[in-house]
Amino acid sequence: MTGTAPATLPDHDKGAALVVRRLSTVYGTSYGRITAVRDVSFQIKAGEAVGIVGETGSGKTAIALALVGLLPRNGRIVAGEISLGGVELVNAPKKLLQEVRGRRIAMVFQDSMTSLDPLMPIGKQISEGMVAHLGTSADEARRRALELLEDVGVPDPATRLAQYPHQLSGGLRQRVAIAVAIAANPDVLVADEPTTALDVTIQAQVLDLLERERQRRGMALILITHDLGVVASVTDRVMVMYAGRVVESGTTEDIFRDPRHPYTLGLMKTMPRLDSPLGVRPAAIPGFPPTGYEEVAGCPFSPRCEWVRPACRAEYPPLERVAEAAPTHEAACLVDVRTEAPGDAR
Amino acid sequence: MPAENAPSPLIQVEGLAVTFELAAHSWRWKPQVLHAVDGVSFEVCRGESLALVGESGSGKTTTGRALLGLYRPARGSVRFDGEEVSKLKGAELKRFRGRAQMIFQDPYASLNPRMKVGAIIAEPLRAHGAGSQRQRRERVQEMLRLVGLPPDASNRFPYAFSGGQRQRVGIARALALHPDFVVADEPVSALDVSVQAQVLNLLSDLREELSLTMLFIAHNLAVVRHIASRVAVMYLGQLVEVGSRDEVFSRPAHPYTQALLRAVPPPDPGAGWSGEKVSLRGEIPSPVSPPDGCRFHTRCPYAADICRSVVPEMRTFASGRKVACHFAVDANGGEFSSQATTPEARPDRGAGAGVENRAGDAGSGIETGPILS
Repeated sequence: MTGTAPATLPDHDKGAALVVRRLSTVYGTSYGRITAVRDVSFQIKAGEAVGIVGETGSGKTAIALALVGLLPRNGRIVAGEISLGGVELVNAPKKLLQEVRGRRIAMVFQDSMTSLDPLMPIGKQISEGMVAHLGTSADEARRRALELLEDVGVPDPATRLAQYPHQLSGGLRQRVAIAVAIAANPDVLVADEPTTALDVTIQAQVLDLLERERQRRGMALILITHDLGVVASVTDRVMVMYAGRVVESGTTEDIFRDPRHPYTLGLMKTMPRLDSPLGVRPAAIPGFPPTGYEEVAGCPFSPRCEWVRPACRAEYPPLERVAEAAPTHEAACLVDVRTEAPGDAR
Repeated sequence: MPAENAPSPLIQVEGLAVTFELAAHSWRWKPQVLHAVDGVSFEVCRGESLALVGESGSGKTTTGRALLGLYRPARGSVRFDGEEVSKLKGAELKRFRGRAQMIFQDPYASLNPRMKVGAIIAEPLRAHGAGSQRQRRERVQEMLRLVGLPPDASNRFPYAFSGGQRQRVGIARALALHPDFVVADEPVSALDVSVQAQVLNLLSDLREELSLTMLFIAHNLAVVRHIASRVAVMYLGQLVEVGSRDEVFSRPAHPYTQALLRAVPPPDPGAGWSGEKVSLRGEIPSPVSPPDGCRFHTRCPYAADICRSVVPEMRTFASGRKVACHFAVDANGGEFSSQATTPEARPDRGAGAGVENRAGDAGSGIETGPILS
């Protein structure tokens, strides 16, 4: 398998809150085996906000689930390492995972209706982690839960403590889910499409809340989303995923100002935005994202790529630095989209 | 059909209200009533594409369905080509259903998994007894071509298609009877970003090619920008602003429209967008017991006393744009100036407001102004 050679990893390993090396995960389904994540490597510093952008089936959620050890029964990690502050999580004993999960790394899911326990008062769901991980007394945990609810902007927190998830609106539920996740002060918070199910005005509130808590707690944030607007406004760095691979990564500034992978470029052009010129037909990426069942030889984006050339179909191009000036900006593409015209090689 | 050259209204909605009775609980004898749509009036002209936007719970889908006669209005009327939809019966109702079709949001739930795509597209033809079996097969092929699917798609089941392709099947089914009017209810919100533009462009082309009249329901304002000629904004069962696309997007007049536009994070890391600065406080109230006065006053950064007690009328600006706000002022030197903007009633500006204050001679009221630099 070609791809990210460990040598391309920057060497600030020691300061990293989370290091992922050559991670691959698969799902077994009745139609066959799907490789959801292919050879993905990255690291995140303490307090950093990193966005993972991709579409359905790009593997972004599989990464999140692998990080917190919550891959479903039919899914497993087949290769790679996940090191959280020096603790190796792949193949770690269940007891260790339980200690780490919630305390060192926590997750906020897209659908707060199903991620919260419908039969447990929300106060108890928030204090549970503190009691289990920090040895907080039940009374103290209750008091802290009240503070947390206030922090995350839930009005009338004293009443809400005793309520159940179904009594809350979607926006409030997501705030509670965030309170549950940050209750034991994790080093890394993984948020998987945390605002996708919410209305835009509520989305703005929740993004703001995530940003505020990240800065206050010095927590690293992994924000998984398909929305480039969300990524642009919240993250320091971005990884763009396609068909289980990272096709481009760099600072948010680099990715938005100087996208180098044709897929990233296509996403930027095709995304509906409020400030695009009217009367100009929005550009569309032809074709459809791969399902994951079929094995694509070479670059998985090549069937949809305007720049495709024979070499693209032969071998998957490695992630390589795109410019001397931008040490963290990498793209996995043989073509230089700045100088070569689409369709040149066809 | 009446003269088609003049922009005559195909759909006329007047004071439409749709309510749902919520199940009574043992401890609550009286069933509660949910006011999903409460006094909505607008028109859709022939050949135009009107976007109906708003958050969940605003009543946009209910309005769309009521237009197709799928809900019976509690009050008000919906007229299609001059005829009251709720009074249609028998053959007339069937004819209406053939002329007014719907494209659904979820391409997974709206296609029968046990029917082949060809049968799905032919279903409306069969139901309406249109053509012979052979003619129907031909029409199916014609529709597949129209929406950009391969001819052999008709022999396959929906599971064999991706979300974007399924939505094309849904579009083909809706258009098979050559309807005059189509309600597209969030047709791209379930699709991946890279596929959304394909489907939007397809709808846009088909609308022109078939001179369709369309009601396009969406929560994402950026999505409707390229497809709608006019935009109607709903909040909690009522319209707050209706105007041409260019006006509503470049100079939103209602504080809610302004907030909606600002709440969309721009795909630009240098924009300095911050949720705190732009977001509305609180959430949309319950449609079971909507607030008095202006329904938006509980979240409005400009709310004054009058907003809490007096329902703002829908007023028409010089350009034809309509706004339901006590303080909205037409910035284009329009004739309209609010009688409510006395200094005492002047709204408290600033405090967490997402709306920019602009220098201007009006000095009162909420001006319309460009929100995008």
